[in-house]
Amino acid sequence: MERTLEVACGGTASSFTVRELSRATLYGTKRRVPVDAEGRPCQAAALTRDGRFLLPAGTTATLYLDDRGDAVERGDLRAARWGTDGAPEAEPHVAEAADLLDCVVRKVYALVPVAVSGRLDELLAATGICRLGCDDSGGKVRFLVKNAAGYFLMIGEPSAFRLVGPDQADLSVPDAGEAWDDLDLAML
Amino acid sequence: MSRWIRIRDGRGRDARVRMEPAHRRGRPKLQTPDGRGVEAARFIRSPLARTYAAQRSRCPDDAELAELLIEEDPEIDFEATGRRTGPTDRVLLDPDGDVLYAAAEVEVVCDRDGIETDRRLPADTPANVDGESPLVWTGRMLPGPEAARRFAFSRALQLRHVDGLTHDFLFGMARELDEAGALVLVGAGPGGREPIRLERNGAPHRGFLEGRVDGERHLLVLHLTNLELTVPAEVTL
Repeated sequence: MERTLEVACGGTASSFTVRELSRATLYGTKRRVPVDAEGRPCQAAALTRDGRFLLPAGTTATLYLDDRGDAVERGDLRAARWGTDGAPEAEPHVAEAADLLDCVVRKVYALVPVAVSGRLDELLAATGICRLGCDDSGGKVRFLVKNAAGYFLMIGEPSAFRLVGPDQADLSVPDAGEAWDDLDLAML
Repeated sequence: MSRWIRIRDGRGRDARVRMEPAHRRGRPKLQTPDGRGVEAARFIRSPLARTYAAQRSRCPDDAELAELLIEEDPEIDFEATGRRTGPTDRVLLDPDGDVLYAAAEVEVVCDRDGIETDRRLPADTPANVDGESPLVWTGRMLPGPEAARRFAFSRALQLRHVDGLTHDFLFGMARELDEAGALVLVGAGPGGREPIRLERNGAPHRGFLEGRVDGERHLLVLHLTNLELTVPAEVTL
């Protein structure tokens, strides 16, 4: 089933069909596969610590248990919000390139326009980038990008980098700040 | 946790500084509608010896297999099914279901339709951010808006100084890029033509440096990408 993205903007609605964009869909894949002595591909499995059970893919199931030990359906669960930045924003708005560069992109989707409102295209004409706000799980930011190739949806997380001054050197360097009284010159 | 990176600026000077990755928040915790936390637990459905493939190898005949399933319930292990797996170790199984104690690896190359095009012995590729040769400032500038609309930057690292000299070095690069309003392509090897590999056998990326300054403070970020915002027929990266 095709997934769609609906964007409400200034009382108008736009919709796109969504397809995930990845290196596999653009360029193909290159992966390392474990093989046995005859060159046949092998599969990974889990071995219980008591050595009794070999569990390849498909032989286990994950359940979510609440504090009483009862199983809860995955569909009934919700993501705990990260904080105030998880609040959804009602309207898309123009974003600058710096806003997008301040995020690390986690997912990219190619969008095929079904109906694009004039209002949304006006917003995209400014910088080519619109911020759609945070998703339900909070913390993630969605950008609608338009370039010569088409429309794209990018989902990212803020990188949270800060400007640093001369007195904010990275002191996590190994050996930095260690005492000098353990230099054993006698052994030289 | 930051790591070392050796980088050359536009004037041909190089320095060894630290790079710090963007903090990854991970997935938010799940909770019930009334706000109680939940714990994910893995349970055994049926061990390897009880899978359909195992029963099929015992009984190649359909009718015989059907009878076996009805009479003996061989697909259900009453002792194992429903047990928590607890901690496990990862092992490799050959196609016969036997544990492998030493496995080789091959590199399988597939095109974008998923069709295998090549199969070869994998070659180890070392990381190249802190080797003898620094990453090179190629001088190829890309305006910030164009970079943001053209590439998906899936990794970002902030370059951090470790002393006054390296502060001046990084500040100079950040100021130059801030004034240009552009990102510069940086790369490994002669002329910076090779992609950047942060880890041994890691995925190769193209790197762009972005700089901002505010008074005496600076921000220098190495954006990494291996994905262009395009549709398959237009790939140019």
